[in-house]
Amino acid sequence: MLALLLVLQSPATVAPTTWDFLSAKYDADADGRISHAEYTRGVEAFARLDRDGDGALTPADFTAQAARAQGESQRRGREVQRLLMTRFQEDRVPDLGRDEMLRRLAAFDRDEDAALSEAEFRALTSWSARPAEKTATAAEANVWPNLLRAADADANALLAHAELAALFDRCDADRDGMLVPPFRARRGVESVRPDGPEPGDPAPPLGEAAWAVDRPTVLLFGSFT
Amino acid sequence: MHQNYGALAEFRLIYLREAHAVDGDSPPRAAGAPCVEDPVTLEERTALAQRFAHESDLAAIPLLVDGMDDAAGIAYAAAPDRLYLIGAAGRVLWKSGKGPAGFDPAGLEAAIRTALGL
Repeated sequence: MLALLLVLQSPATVAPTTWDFLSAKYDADADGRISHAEYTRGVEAFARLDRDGDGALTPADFTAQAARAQGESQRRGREVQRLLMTRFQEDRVPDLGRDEMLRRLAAFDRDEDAALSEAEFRALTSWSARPAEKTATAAEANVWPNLLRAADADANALLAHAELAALFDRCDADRDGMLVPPFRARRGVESVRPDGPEPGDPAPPLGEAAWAVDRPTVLLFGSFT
Repeated sequence: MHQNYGALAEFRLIYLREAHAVDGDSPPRAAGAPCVEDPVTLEERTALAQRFAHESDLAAIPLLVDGMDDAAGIAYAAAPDRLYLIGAAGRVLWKSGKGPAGFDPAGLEAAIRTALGL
């Protein structure tokens, strides 16, 4: 709502398109492409913007079709991360450490080939899947194919431990060796409650004088967009 | 609401990480949406927060800027936008849902009036 208010009140600040905005700022040689050298805000941001992965930012990266493809890719990424976090943990706590996952893979590697077969995955899953997931048979049938699609780089219908480690690393955006639920995704900060404090809870600190001691204080959280 | 209740309650505007920065994880989808880059330093974030407050006609409200670790946004589960009412004892009296769907100014006003005994 804050953003909507802004759009209605400040039309002068609205750039026509994302490409117009970026090209005006970064396309120094005006060749219709923004190269790595021209872009100054880091390789991670460049990679997010380079939706077609051709190594340059162009208008094609900002079409509706490119946005849909990026959204679908992000959805698949979240689903794969959820699969890892619910199927490979040792202790039924949703956090998943890289070493923890590799220990689980080794424990269920019955033929000791450093790869996970579907049968080994089923044995592993029968221990770790929660009851609700065990009964969701239709969705369960898709889990192994989805993991293969995400990680089986050599297409041999086995998930080498190295392939799963590589998948883990792709999901581990902050490279700290841990996958954690989204609400705790920012390293080093934990929310007491995933949906924030409830009425009656102490308000989490916001610095000195964040609220008055003699009357109520309204906190309005928001951003531009 | 600030004009109506500003003499009886405190107001704080807390600027969070951009929800739909063009270079963020969730870029803007709607045509004509503002083009804003995700600040990479606290100085950038503070400058954008001040622009946000000014252009949103909220400059009269004291502004706080969340740190680059997003500690406040996470602790309050406040992204993309959210309202809280904190009592004099430092405890939560009321909170809205997460915006934009949960943003609830009418609920906030009712909670303020209840807290003030109006």
